[in-house]
Amino acid sequence: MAIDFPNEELLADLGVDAIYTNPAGGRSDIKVLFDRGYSQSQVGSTDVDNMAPSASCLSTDVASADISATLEVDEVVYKILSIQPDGEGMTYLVLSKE
Amino acid sequence: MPTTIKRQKIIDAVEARARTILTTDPVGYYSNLGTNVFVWLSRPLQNTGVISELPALVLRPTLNEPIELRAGSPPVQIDQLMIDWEIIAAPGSLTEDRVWEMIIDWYKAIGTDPTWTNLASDTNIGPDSFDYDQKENTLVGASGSIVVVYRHTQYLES
Repeated sequence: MAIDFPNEELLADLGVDAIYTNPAGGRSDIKVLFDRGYSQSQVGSTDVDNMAPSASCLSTDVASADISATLEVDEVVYKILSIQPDGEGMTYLVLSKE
Repeated sequence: MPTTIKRQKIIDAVEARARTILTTDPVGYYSNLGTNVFVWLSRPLQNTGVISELPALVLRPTLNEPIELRAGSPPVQIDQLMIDWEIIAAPGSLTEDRVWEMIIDWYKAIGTDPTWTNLASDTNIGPDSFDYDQKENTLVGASGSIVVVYRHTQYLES
């Protein structure tokens, strides 16, 4: 049986504070599930261990997002590389410092 | 015990030269690429924030090819040793410019003595290319090959 767990409650319980800056420059405080997760890249023939940060949040909080928007978590400002709505109210953001 | 195998001596000389690519070297380099030089790296480079091994120069001797046999007693064989190289960097906002500098440094280091202290006749540089990936940082890779031409007694390389 699927567990019906409202997105808002999930973020309230497990989320961290973030500042979303929309493409027009407007800032808003939102909750995100932040993951600075490990990733491995291949550049040429060489593998590189590095970090691939991402965040999940309410789609309504980032409805205006495009790749000129930013997300600040723990005083680090991330650019948004990819915006991936799940169609069920949450959006997954792929982040980068550069 | 030091190696007596000529191609290994060449690889050792190439690695040692690469390690001199430092901004403090009197030759005058743009970068400190020589800080992280690896031969036949078989594990991932680290760029996790805890450990950073970038920028790095990775050397892989991939092919040794006999190209000429000169008659004599004993006969002399001329080989060319291909060494693939890769420069991997997370150059921040300066991006390609910094990687260009590292490529120029690498070629400059080769040019200080393309005979590798008389181990080889010459060293030729092939084309280079770029590759990219972006995660937490932008990663830029440049790659190419050098070909070291050297001679040895036929059937007896050491």
